[in-house]
Amino acid sequence: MHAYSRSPLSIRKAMLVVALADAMVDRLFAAADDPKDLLEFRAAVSAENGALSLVMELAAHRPRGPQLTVIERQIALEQYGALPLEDFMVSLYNNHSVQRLMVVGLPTAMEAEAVLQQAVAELRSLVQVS
Amino acid sequence: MGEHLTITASDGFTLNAYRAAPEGAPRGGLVVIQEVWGVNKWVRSVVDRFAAHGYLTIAPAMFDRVELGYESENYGPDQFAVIGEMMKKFDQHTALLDVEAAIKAVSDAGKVGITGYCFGGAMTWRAAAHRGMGLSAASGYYGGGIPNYIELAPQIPLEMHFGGEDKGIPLEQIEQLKATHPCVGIHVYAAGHGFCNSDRPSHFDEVACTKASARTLAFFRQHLG
Repeated sequence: MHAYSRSPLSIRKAMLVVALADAMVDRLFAAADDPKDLLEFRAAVSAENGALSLVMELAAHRPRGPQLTVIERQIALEQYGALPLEDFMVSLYNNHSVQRLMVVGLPTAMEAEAVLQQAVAELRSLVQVS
Repeated sequence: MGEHLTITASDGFTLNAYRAAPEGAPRGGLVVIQEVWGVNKWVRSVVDRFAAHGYLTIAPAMFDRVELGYESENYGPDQFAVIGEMMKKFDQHTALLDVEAAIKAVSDAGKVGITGYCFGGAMTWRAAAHRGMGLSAASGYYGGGIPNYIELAPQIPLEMHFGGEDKGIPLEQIEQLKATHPCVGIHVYAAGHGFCNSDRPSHFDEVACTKASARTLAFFRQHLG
């Protein structure tokens, strides 16, 4: 997550977080006291953890499933004060727009950084419980 | 130390500029294009540094058409909305006229190169892709909005410097730029956006900037003299 946070527009680094988070679910299954069925375990994890479920769908890379993509977004003047410095600088000479890494293929697109942070938080909770 | 002067673009608009001359005969001319804070203290120091390396160097005030005399040392977010409003009037086409005027102002020194940072990095690519500007080489830094210039084919030797941890420029777009233009030297450093501005300590990366600056100088030595 650290490497991704330093390059939050990088699909490759985001996909690394996705792959590692997905693999961690399998590790949790393997570390269980009496592991029974991996697919059932993953389904149960998915049902109880929204962001992690979305990350597992990204890892599955289904043709009609969610995908990561960089999208250009217009910035309203009142939002300028909240922009990070680099976004501010770049937006000024790019038609007042910034780029964002988004999870698309959902009813509503979501910012990838928020999804990944929440998924990692959910994973940490699962690790503590186990 | 350099001097403040005015230059006139081909459409008659007069803009401010800062120019510094080397000691002795110049190796060539150089245009430095600013970040979004105008020709401020740091940009003037860059002009002085290139002059010390032997180039007659000029930085045109690229936002004078929007607000005459604009420059800022305030890198804080309290200025963002003010500058954002101001920049709605910025025009890429007339900006190239201002670059052209700056090139003419140093062309007596010999071959002319161009470099620039952030806004100036993107502008460096645009100038390098524009025929008839009178440029011989270009070296740009972290120009954002790659999708807006990736289709512009450079007409002169060009290199670009990016930060691999730039939060405003996707790494995959830099890779795409390199793949689309294999003749352009694209260098990526372990640094974030704006890694060469020493007046912004939170973003300045001395190691990356030293490496990139040495490359730029060697590039200009090769192509300008």
